[in-house]
Amino acid sequence: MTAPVYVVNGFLGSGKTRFLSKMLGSKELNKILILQFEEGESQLNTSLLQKPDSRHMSWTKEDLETDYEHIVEEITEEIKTYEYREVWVEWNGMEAFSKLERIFLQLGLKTYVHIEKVFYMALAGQADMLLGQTGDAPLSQVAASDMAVLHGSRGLEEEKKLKEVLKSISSSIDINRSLKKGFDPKKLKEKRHYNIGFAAVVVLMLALLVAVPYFQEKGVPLDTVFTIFTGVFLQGVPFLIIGVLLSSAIWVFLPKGWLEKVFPANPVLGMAAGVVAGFFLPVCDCASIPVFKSLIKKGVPLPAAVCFVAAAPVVNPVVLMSTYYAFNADIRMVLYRTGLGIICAVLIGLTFFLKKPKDYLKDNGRESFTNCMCGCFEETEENPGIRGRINLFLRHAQTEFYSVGKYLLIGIFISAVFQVSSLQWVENLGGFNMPLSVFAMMVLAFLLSLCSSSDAVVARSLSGTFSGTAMLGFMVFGPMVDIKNVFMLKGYFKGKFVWRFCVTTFLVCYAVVLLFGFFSGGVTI
Amino acid sequence: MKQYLNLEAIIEGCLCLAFSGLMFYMAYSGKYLLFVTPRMKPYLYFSAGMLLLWGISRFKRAGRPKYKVHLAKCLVLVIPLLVIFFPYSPMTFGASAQYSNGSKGNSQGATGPEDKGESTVGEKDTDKTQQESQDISPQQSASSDSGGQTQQGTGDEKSKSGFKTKAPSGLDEDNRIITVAHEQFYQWLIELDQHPGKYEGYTIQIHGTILRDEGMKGNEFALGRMMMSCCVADLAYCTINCEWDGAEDLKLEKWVDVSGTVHFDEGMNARVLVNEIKDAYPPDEQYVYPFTY
Repeated sequence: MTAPVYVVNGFLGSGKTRFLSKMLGSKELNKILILQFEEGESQLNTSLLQKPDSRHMSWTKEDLETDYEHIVEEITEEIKTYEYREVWVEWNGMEAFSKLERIFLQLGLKTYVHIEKVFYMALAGQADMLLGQTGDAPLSQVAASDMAVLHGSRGLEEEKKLKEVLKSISSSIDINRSLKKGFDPKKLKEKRHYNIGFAAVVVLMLALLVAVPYFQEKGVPLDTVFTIFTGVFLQGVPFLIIGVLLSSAIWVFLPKGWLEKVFPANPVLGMAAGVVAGFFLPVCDCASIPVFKSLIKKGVPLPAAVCFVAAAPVVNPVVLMSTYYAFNADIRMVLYRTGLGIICAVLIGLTFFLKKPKDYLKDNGRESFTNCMCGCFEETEENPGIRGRINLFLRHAQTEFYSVGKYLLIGIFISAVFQVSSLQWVENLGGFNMPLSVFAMMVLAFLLSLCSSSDAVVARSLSGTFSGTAMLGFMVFGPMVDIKNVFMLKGYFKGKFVWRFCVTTFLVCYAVVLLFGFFSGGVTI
Repeated sequence: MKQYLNLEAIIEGCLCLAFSGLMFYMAYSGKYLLFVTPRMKPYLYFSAGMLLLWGISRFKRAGRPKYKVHLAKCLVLVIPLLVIFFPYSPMTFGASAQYSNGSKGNSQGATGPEDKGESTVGEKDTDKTQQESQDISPQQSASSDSGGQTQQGTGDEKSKSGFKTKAPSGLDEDNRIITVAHEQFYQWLIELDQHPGKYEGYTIQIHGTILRDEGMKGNEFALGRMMMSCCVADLAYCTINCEWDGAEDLKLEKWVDVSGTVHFDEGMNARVLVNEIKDAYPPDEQYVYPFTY
């Protein structure tokens, strides 16, 4: 059994030393190695330092900067020479965590020690202010920590804010407020297993796949669900990759403020620019959502960006062509779909202009070039210049691929289930009056979550049951909002914003299509 | 020299490479056609390339230590790998996507069956005579010949909706014979629909599966193919109605070669008055892909 290493991170004055003292307590303390890299106001209880076979070593920040390799050697020698039961490290608040990893994760020390748990001391009023403003090193500490210990908050609001900040840096961090009541060092030391969830999902998937024939006997078409899942996935994943590459390129390569300068200040022109940009992105909505997020983060006004994300799936050339062919080379349907789509996109953008939402990005729109919150803190200190930027671009795109990809998978799976289930009850509504049939078609479009080039074909195949106007509702609303999109948006934006976007889009599309239907006297195909 | 091992980077790198291999395999082997249209091929190669690049960049980090090993994000790669490669995956059943949502069953006005029944996959096409047309990919222009037919249809005819269309290949105007190649099924259905009356009395040879629904008379059946516009989620039958005395006794979903005469009914809908039905093997490409842009 190798000796556990416990690490305590946090800013100067965040309470690391006091926490250390508490954790060490007054029990048997022989064979403990204590390493301090911060010299704060608190001093470690000297009695702890004088137990037999225990040792205390300390260095300053300057030592770490000037003499790092020597320190690593010293510690390595110390651990190899003397047998310790536990190692406690008080790390320096402004040093990158990778420096600590390079000490303790050496393969040569594998038989002696292992990092058991990493704590982060979060002082309310300090941590939430400084994190994000003081560079990457403190962020890397939070990202690497298993547990954050909150203290010093004067109310629930403050505590909540601090929690949000910490979670936005590391979603898997465990938040603990137990310094005041029920302080149990044993419990705090318990190891957390992150990859149990991963293993569980893999086992579940295997179980489902093995059980496919069994489900088939019971009349549950699980194999069809998987088939549709595969099809939509293969259709979507290349565009997701394109989307994250574009989004990452916008983030990494566009100079700060450039988009703000170049973009028309006039909101009307801005929205028009958003719509036009949609023409130039002939990809499915899997790509437009990452780009949407990046444009906003780079300073494009929200109404214009909303116009873009609403219009792009409808006005793109591939979709226009598929509509044309699906309706037997009838140009009218193409014109109606595109025209109504543009009108709706502009109106939706307008609502966001008239009433600007506050605080809609998931990570509170934290700025800073290197601080991209994607967990790639490792890279930023090396390779400046064009090579470094390209590496950052690739790494950032990859991280975004994972984070949005998981939402896409969930969305595809849910929509595959809907596609397989009998939605006859929705289709039966088609026989009724126009408002109801348009509503039904829009609901169907949302649930089926087809990609925007399939919309036209499927709408056409339902022409027996639904009127032309209802089909337009399907084809205009479907590409803008569906289950897949909602999940992907949730990966980037707060729930309130996603909800507002969906409801606004639904209402605007419904109203516009219905009005069109009434005034044009119905659309015949 | 200190040595480190970044387990997370190595696992992630392996999964990226496996995923890249999957995309490449799907595209190269043609198996992707069971799920998406031919137009996606270059995109799948692109995805394979990108994932390969990412995998390599991950392996480059294998020497940098990392404490936290977070594999959850790799589920985005693992789940599709499992779904696509597992033994009971859609590929061995040949994409049994003929789901029972009956209303998605038709496109050209001819009615498809309400209840789709079992998937027809199984027999691989080994008959060499069927191979002739499969080399012609849907993306090739309509000027390529199939099965030894002669000229192209005379170019720009005005169609029903007033737009000029070009007849698909397989038209022998002199002898008034239409030979419909596998991948031209949908194109010919459109051509007949757009030019009612023009092909009245022509002999037609066409290949598809037998479908019937309750509304059909005893001597009626529909000959159909599944077409994929964008991906497997929008699979729908396109069919042409046929008349044949023994229609009631025909086995549903059977692949057949049909010879007959083109006839337009009062509603100017194309039908085939069948002279002969022969059993046939399914073509290598199960689906037709109408949109080849």
